[in-house]
Amino acid sequence: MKTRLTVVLVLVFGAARARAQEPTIRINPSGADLYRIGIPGADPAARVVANDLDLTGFFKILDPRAFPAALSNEPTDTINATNWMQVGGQSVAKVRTGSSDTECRLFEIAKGERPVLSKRYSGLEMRVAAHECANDLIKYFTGEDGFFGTQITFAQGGRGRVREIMAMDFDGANVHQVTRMNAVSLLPSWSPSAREIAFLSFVFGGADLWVAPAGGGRARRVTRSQDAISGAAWSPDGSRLAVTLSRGGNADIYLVNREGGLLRRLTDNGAIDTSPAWSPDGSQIAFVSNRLGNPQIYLMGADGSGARRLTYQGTYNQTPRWCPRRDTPLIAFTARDEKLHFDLFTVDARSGQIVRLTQNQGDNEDPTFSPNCRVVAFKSSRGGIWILNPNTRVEHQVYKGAVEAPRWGPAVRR
Amino acid sequence: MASRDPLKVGGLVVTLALHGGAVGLILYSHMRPSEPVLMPREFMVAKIVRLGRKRPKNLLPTIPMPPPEPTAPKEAVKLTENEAAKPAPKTEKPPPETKPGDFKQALARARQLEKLQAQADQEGDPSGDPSGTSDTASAGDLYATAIFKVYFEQWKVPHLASAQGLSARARVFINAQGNVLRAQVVKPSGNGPYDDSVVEVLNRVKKLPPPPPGLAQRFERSGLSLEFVP
Repeated sequence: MKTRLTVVLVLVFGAARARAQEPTIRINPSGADLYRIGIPGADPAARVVANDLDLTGFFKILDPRAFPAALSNEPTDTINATNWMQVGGQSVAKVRTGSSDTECRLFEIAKGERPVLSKRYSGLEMRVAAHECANDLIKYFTGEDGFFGTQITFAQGGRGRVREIMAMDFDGANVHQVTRMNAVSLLPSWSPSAREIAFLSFVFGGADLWVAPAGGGRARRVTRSQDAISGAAWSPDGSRLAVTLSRGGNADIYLVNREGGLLRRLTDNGAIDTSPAWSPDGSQIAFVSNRLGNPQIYLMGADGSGARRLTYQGTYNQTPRWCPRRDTPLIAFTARDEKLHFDLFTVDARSGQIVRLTQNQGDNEDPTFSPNCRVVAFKSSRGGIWILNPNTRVEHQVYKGAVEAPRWGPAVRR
Repeated sequence: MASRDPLKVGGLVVTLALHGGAVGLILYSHMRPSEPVLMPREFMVAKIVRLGRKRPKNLLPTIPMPPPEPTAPKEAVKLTENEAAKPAPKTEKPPPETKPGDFKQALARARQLEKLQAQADQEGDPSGDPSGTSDTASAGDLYATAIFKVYFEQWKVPHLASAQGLSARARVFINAQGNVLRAQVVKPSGNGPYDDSVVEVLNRVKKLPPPPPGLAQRFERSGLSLEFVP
């Protein structure tokens, strides 16, 4: 009996060992594709979801006008996988708005006719529910949080004597006025809670720092005009703002508290130091300095220590903006190339490696990352605000008016 | 003393038997026809690129753009009935005058080429790349490369699932002619779009290069193990 058992064990382990040592051929992909998804129906929530996914630059949304009636009229709780495969789909999302709720279902065609994700959102406005559905779809596909439902703020562009701070949903819907300063207002910056927006305004002649509720309302003045000021960035914990003050005619970076009280001087030299941007963990600040001749991107500790040059390519680099993810040490910035075009680039904050994001599409400036860093919004000479997926190079215009300094707001979970 | 002799003889016999056995085993293993073995390998796909002028280090990087599509010259699409507008017939150039020394040089070059060709025929694998220089490749490695090439060319991963660290294992059963009998994912990555793309390419590939003779039966019975990694 014991011998038999030993023989069986030897055979089993021998087979397992042989399988473990079996040679495997490793296959790599020859390229990457957009993911093909069908979102049938004329339900407004379905169209919002389709637009959300389209704006990510990761999906090819199958044209619902090309669907045969059999697909358009399918029940919402199942799919005919063969039919969807024939129109080239890889997944199908079905979204239906009811009287008090919105249903969201995802079907992976290779996995059959039952939904792999099924959600119901009650008591939410249609667009909010649709964005939640899109967020759940992205979470299912990538394991990451989506950015649907976030907002972008910007300053009105042009040469008018009155330019207010505006905000809109990231997809360009619900454009609304944040400030009513009746003056030139510039350089908005979101608070980490997304409840407030700091900005500069020339209400009293000189530039002052103001803070307004993001949904609109009375703004409060944070700094007085004894020093010219430009550019402000809120620290990730929301307790401080890094600002540029021009004392004695020279611009340097300072820390102030929420009430405008001076906390600390961070840079101190004869060159112009401006455009501070906090790292997501609050330990570093990127900024622009011309201390060695041309404006370049620099890094320093949040207390002003250890300043070092980060970019060595290009002769005119500006507007650094950190990726808000702690695991991605990436800074987007604007640079003027040798043909005198402004384009978007990223620089790795650790290695200093620079990657170009835009080229031969007019002038593109002022990048700002989405909360998950998958896409970048920016201002373009082609007009308005655009969203670009740097991986797939798919881009979309989301706002057509004249703008300055778009800033993507943080994702705040409901 | 004499009583030890049988022990000595016995020891000698045992020693001889052991050594003989070891030598016999080595000889036997060398005489057996060796079965080609597929070795697990990392493949790198290389492309030949034309090097341009080196950019100064301080210039910003550019996005590589595909070269513009070639356009036909205007004259090529201009159709006319006018005989006068037709291009003049080409006058054939007379062949260059040959000198007696030229034939000798050509003959010498032909002989040299023939010699090189003969040398080339002596090494390498008959199914190998003619521009290759190695004669050490085994049949297993060549076959693995051929399999890799088929799947590599047809597999595209969705950008959506291009996150690092994903991997899916599959098993493909083929017959002696290389026809795919069955293909299945045995260990999915867990990411839907990624696994879908693997299933898609497994379903699409119906024919693979016929396996080397020593492996045909094994691939039909146990299948071929593939790992799809981005």
